[in-house]
Amino acid sequence: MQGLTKMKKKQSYLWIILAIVMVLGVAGCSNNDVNATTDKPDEAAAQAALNENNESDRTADEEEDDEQVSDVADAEIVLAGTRNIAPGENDAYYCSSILMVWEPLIASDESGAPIPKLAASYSANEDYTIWTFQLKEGVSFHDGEPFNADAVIANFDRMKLGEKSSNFYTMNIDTTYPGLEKVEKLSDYEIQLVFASPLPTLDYAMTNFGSAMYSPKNFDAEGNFNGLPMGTGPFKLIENVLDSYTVIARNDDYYGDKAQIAQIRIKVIPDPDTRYSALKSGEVMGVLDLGAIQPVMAMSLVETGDFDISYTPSTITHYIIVNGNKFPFNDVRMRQAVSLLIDRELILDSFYAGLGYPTVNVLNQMTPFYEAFDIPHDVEKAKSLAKEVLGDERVSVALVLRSGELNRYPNKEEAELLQAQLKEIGVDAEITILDNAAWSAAVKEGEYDLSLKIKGLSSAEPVSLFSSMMKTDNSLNKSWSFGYSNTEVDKLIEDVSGELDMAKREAMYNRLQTIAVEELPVIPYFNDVTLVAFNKKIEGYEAVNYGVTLDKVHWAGQ
Amino acid sequence: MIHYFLKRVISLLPVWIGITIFAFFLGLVSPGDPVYLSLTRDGITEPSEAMVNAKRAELGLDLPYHIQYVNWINRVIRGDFGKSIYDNEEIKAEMLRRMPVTLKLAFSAFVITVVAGLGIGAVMAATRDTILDRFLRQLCTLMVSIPGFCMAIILIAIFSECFHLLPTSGMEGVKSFIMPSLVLSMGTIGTSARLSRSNFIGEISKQYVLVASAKGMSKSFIGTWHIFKNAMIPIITFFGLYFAGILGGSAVIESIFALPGMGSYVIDAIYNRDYFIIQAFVLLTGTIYVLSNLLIDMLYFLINPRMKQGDSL
Amino acid sequence: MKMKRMEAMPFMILGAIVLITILAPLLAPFDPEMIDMQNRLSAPTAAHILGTDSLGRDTFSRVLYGGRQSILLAFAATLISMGIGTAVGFVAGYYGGKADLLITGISNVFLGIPGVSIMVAFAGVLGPGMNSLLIAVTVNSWVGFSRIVRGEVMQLKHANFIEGMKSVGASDGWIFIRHVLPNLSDSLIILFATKVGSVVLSVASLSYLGLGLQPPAPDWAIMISDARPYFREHPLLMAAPGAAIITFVWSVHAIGDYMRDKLDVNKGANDAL
Repeated sequence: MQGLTKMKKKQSYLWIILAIVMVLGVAGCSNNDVNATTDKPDEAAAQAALNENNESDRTADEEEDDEQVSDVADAEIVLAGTRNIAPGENDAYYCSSILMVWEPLIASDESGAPIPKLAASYSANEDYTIWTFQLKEGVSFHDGEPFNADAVIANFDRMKLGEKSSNFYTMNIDTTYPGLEKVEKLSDYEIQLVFASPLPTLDYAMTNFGSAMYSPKNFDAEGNFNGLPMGTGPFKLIENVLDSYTVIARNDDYYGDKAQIAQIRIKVIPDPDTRYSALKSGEVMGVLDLGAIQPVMAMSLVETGDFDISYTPSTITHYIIVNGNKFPFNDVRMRQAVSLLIDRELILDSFYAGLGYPTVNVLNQMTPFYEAFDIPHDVEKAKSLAKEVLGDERVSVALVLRSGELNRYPNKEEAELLQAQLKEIGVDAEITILDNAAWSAAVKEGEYDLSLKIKGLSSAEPVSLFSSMMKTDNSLNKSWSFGYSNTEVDKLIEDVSGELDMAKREAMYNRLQTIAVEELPVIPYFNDVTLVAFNKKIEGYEAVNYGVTLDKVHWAGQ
Repeated sequence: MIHYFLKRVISLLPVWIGITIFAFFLGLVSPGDPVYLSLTRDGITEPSEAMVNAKRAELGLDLPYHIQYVNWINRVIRGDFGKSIYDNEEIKAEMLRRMPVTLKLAFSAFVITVVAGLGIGAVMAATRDTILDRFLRQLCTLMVSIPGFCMAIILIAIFSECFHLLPTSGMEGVKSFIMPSLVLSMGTIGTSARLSRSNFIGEISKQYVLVASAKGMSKSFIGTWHIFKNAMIPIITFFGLYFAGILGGSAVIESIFALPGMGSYVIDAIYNRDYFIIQAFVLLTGTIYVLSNLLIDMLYFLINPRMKQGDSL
Repeated sequence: MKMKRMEAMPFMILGAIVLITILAPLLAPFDPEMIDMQNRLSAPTAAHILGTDSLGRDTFSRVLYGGRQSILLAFAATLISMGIGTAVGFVAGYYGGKADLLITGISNVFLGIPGVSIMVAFAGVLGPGMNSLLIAVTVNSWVGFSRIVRGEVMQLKHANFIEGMKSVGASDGWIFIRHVLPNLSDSLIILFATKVGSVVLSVASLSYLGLGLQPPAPDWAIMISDARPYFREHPLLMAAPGAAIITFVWSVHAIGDYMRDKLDVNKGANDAL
């Protein structure tokens, strides 16, 4: 009998141990952080130990680099990305523009408008069929090849070899340079593009990925890369281990402001929680790329006092997409009801830590053609609109989510909130999470009613967006089953491409935006930000609309 | 021995063929179009119907299934797994790159399982019915009961975020593999320890041990050989199957710890309906399964030649 | 032999969990799906004794409800798997020969394919949800039963009493039900307990991947997954469902272990505990 009571006691010990482990694991840590902020030396020591570890793990051939970067200010900075930021030889661009390894002829400013980059200046003839580019002089690629008209022509020749797929932006000369007839060298630093028909906004299409330049010796016969990418940017890509890390080093021959840090290592950490932990533990100094960190998690880092965030408007818009081919959302009043029903501010404040800009406009704000509209939120009106359509009946709808999105955005919580709110207007939504492939199949076959989806504005020239989402039977309008059709819209989209007068063009885009706000082929709810978080041990880590100011990053106080 | 070996090979061949067929159709029946997904992977381009069809024809995906299967088998036999539909990377090269990662993970988890499992099992058998035995048994049961992802999150929070002892992720030396292999071996340690315990106990109490000790054989000899040898048979089976199973089971762990291994490769492939990768993967794990079965049989045969064939499967 | 109090513990815990789960609608202070955005991420209060989640839903109520789907699923799927596995295993073991070869071959095909692939494929084909999970789990776990049953039946087949039954012309079905099944029951119960536990865990990892049970259903695994961005500040969001799922799986496994020990007792291979 004595043994029995003993056993019972031990059993309860077990439970106590379990409880302690659980609580320690989750709660103990936040206590520790409070200490850490007051107890800096300890943390610094841990950090130093960590750095030492990193160094001792390096291989011999890296030792040479270490000598160069032995200076504290030049010690390598380790960051974490969400995916392969340099997918390698078979990607059309080898690596993302975020790395600042390659540069385009034309880049974009903060508002998304085109600005000259490797092209020092450019101009078009009156009917926009001939574009002339003056190239920057004294620029050379990382392999020492000079950047000049011949190099540009080599890059165009590569594009002509055929479409190249990419994780970032499919390279297709026919979409970026439609009707290109010839690429002509006028002088060593001047080239001319001649087109069959007017292209008044070619410069918009050419921004960033549209006109990436590499050394003419960088390609193989099929137009793939024959090794590391040789761009002109402030960083050279010196080592790339797929799915593990990418190392970039300062280009000391850069023609412009040189990068402030000698070397940056970007690790691939796909899991958002692990990335957060790596940042918090001091293993990485910052995070970057799409969905670098969820806003609520970023805010919890800021609260510890050791971290900061930086954000700036991005080209991504969050939409509630609707199946307009079937009841009930084939009725515009139902779409309006949903738009009136949702509380955009509440969604942003609750799930995005307030980082974002509510919108009803199908067009993202990162374009000079963007118009601001009032954002009505009126539950009563939503109810009455829905009642007009549904009467006293309730309707069941399928709200499908794409699993690939869930690692980046709190879509599940948004959907649950939406589901609760939809009940008020007589709509009973059933949530289903589908993997990416099944999601694409479902929305294409129209086997859904509502979904949450983001879409990035690929160019500040918005015709492709309008055409894709609003033109009858076209592109996304078709493959996401919007079923949207409006003859005025179709005509506007057709006319706008050939419109040479900028003022008229702007008016047409205004009209398209106004129609979209009224008829809601999709229900936009907010424009996202590019958000990065970083350890206060580094400075100059600022979010830009696509990426981060890697060339300005440096150790704090150096 | 050779005769037996050949017989086993012949009987396993249909299993292998069955696995290839299953592997092939597993990919095809899932909804979703890898070609469309591949053409839209930048999230910007929206291909026309014609573009999708052209690429599908190029990949031979428009052919009747049985012809696709024959084509596939033809290529596979020549060691050509083809290219990923999604990103056009060579599958064999990718697998060769990822295989070592998963093998390292599986191997370290395996070592932990064997050492801890047999060790705890032996301790429990030796201290049978004492407090220690009971405690360890409860601990084993508990280990089998914790979801792996839950354990991973908690371990990272404790060892990386709090104490900065271990890296959260990546592959920087041995340290990086400690947490993932621990999580991966967690459940199997519990099971194998219990299994070892009962097998050791079972063997200890069997007649022949008593007889042997009656014959005056030294206790240590009985312990180290007879008991061990016979107790090992079910344990070998368990570990053999475990090793084959771990290849598919490491997906969640790999993605949490950012290990570019086979598990995360196949999960991504499943999400993208990248048939060629799924097929190659299942074929590979299936082949490993068949081979490890063969190996187990051979071990059985070596340990106990009287064993009737076919009993292991 | 009377069951000792300590050994009764897993049974009591399991009973309590099942009872609580069944009675959840009566016990839960709140509707587990009721959203209250004014009250999100609240710390434990008198009303919300375990606090609320990011949508202001009551954690305590959600934990009470959280086992409903996965426990039901685990029991149902394991029962079906056991039924199929036992029948198939019996046929293979009892008749032997070609039937055995065929069944063993098919079993090996299923064993040779990673469970995750099968489950994800089925979740994909049938669309996620209870039904497809049920099928996926069954497809994945019947083999475990058929293997065990086949092995045991092969041993039993040559036992004197079975040979005797056959010689007096008893039908195979009758032999199966009256003589084989009772002899199998111990192993089946043990395997059943182990499987229920592992099914709960594998459904949990599917749900963690987003392909298992669907929101807003309160489910332990989904709750753990949802808590990820918040658990450092609000540990209860993860600890509560985590403790629930671990306790449940533990009690099921502990019962399996108990049965295993008892089986050993019956065979006289072990001292009385």
